[in-house]
Amino acid sequence: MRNLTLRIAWRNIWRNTRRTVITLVTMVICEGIMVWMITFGDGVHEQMIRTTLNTGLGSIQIHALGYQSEKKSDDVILDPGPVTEIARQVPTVEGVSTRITSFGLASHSGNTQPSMIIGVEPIGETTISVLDEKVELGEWLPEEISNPRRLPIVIGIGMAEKLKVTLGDRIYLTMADFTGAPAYAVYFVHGIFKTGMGEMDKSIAYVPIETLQPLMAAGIPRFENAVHEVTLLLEPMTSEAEAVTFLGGQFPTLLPDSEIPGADSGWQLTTVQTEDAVAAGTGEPEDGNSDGGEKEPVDDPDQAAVELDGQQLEILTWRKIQPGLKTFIDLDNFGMYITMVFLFIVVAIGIMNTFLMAVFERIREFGIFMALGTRPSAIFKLVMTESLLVGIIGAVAGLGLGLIGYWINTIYPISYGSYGELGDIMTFDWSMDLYPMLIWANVMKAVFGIIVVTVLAALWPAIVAAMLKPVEALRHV
Amino acid sequence: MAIVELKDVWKTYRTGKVDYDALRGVNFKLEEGEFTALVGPSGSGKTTMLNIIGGLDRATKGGVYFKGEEITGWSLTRLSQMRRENIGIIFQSYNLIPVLTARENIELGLLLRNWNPQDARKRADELMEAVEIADMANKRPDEMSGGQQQRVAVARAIADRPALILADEPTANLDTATGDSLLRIMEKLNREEGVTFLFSTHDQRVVDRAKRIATIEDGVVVKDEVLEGIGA
Repeated sequence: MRNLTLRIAWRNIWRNTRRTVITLVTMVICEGIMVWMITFGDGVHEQMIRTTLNTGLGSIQIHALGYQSEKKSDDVILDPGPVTEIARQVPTVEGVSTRITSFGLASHSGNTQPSMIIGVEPIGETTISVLDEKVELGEWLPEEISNPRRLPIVIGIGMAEKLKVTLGDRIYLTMADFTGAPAYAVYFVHGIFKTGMGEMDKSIAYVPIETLQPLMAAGIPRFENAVHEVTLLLEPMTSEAEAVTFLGGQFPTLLPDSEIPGADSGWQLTTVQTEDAVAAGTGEPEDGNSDGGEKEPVDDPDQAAVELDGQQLEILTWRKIQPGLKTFIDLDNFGMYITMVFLFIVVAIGIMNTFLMAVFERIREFGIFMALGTRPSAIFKLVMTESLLVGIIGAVAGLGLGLIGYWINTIYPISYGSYGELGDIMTFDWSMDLYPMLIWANVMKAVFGIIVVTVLAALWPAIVAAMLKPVEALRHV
Repeated sequence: MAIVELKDVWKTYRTGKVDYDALRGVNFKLEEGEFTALVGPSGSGKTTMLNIIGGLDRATKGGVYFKGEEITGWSLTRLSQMRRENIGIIFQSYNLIPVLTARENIELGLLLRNWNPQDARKRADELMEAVEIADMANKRPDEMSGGQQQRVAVARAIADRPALILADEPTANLDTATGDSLLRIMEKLNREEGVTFLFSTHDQRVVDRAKRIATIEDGVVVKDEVLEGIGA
């Protein structure tokens, strides 16, 4: 009977070919638009993420516990060697490097500029960012210091303009060392970069980490190898959460997330109360815990806290370090889903109209089915099967159209032109051309969504058909 | 045993603000194996009575019994089950499913009764031979004449050898030869397999073949004549 239902349903949807085709065309266009929008959105988001990571943010950063939220200069990883070794074991890692960061002032000939001074591994840094490619004047930091009296510094074009310096000029740096005490150094402009990101070009200066470390350590032995962060860049389209889980497993001790200052996950308090206590209004905990209840850990896949050789560390993905980007992408996705909902509504209205008409035209036929002994539920199932078939055809054809759009977009990208302020964060390593990205899991949401919407839209017509009275249906002209 | 019994059955329709009594206190009993014609002028209540007996409609008042069980208050689902298991219906206007072939229309009735698809196919082929439309097996209703469609409808109704067949003006749209041919098939089924037939008809050919004639006028059975066979 199931086979016959399918056969009848299939033939029924083609009884009025023109109407079915018109309905399908609506579905296919809506679905095609959705699929392309999803691939385009995913492509743009991936470009945004990759661009941001390539600024030096990295996919994952490891710090001393509390550094990210408090940024205390003495929150350092005292012995980064074992940490970088562990970091290099992440299966999807592309690059690992260490950094020291200090805030201070850069000055030249009476001109000053507040700066973030970052000590980097000259070669290591190129494995986690593309900054070296942004040097427009001079060169990126050398692997070895050829002249200890002329320590190299690479600055942004904005800083160069502010300080009125060019290649070879001297820059005086005043900064806070690991203890917070002032430290001073003189560097010589080795390169000037331009990222197109105003704040970065104006405020950040890069020096070789080996030159900054002694300055920051201020002669304190335990600080002599210290760094503020170990940064990892993972391969594109790989899971940071899986990498965090892997890393967490490699350290001797894994601590609860709540140990991370500012962690918005951690422990959830659930209060356990006895019935008597509730009745009495005392709220006494059943287990006698002094804090009043039981706690359950809540895991955040974007962070982990570990311990190594007595030092507590935090492992954070870019989502934790730059939540604004995640929020931007989430909002963008939300906007896209709202658009999808409207498209689904359009499809649903069309489907409901089509099936109401189809049911109305076949009232007498449903009466015949009932006269033959067909259950009302079988009539319902027949109409729903028809809608499922229409949904599947529309979804598959729409997917095809969307994939054609995606394919064309990969050959002919969309050039976004000037985006004003948005261009400021998007021009770094940002191609002017926007390419789509095919993530099947996201695309299939639209595909299944349209099938579900089609089936739901046919619910009312199916109920109408199932509730027909046989004798009235048979009399219908 | 009475296969069908109506006890003081009324059926009232409301058209606008007016109530119209299509059946007025009908008392009727149909025994197993009968070949009965229900005659009367148009609008007398013949089709209404057939619909109530077949569970396609519900009586407003009174009792309707099928095989001794009262079906008056049954739900639509339960009535459809009763129809599926016990009753075959032949309509005046064939009422085949347009998207199904002749063979599939016959199989439909059997599949609704949970026949195995292979057995249903075999039975459908036998019946198509019996009603002389084997060559139309793969044709759809819009590719067949009225007579051919009605043969399919008859084959569908008798396919599972139901206890009762209700035929509402089955020969009305047929030529003489086709009508006679189909009536012979139904007579044979009644005679050899004891299938009970109740016809609503104006056709004298049907009346001439009937063993019992019930006359209905203005919603009342005014005459009930057993001519031969059971109850004669």
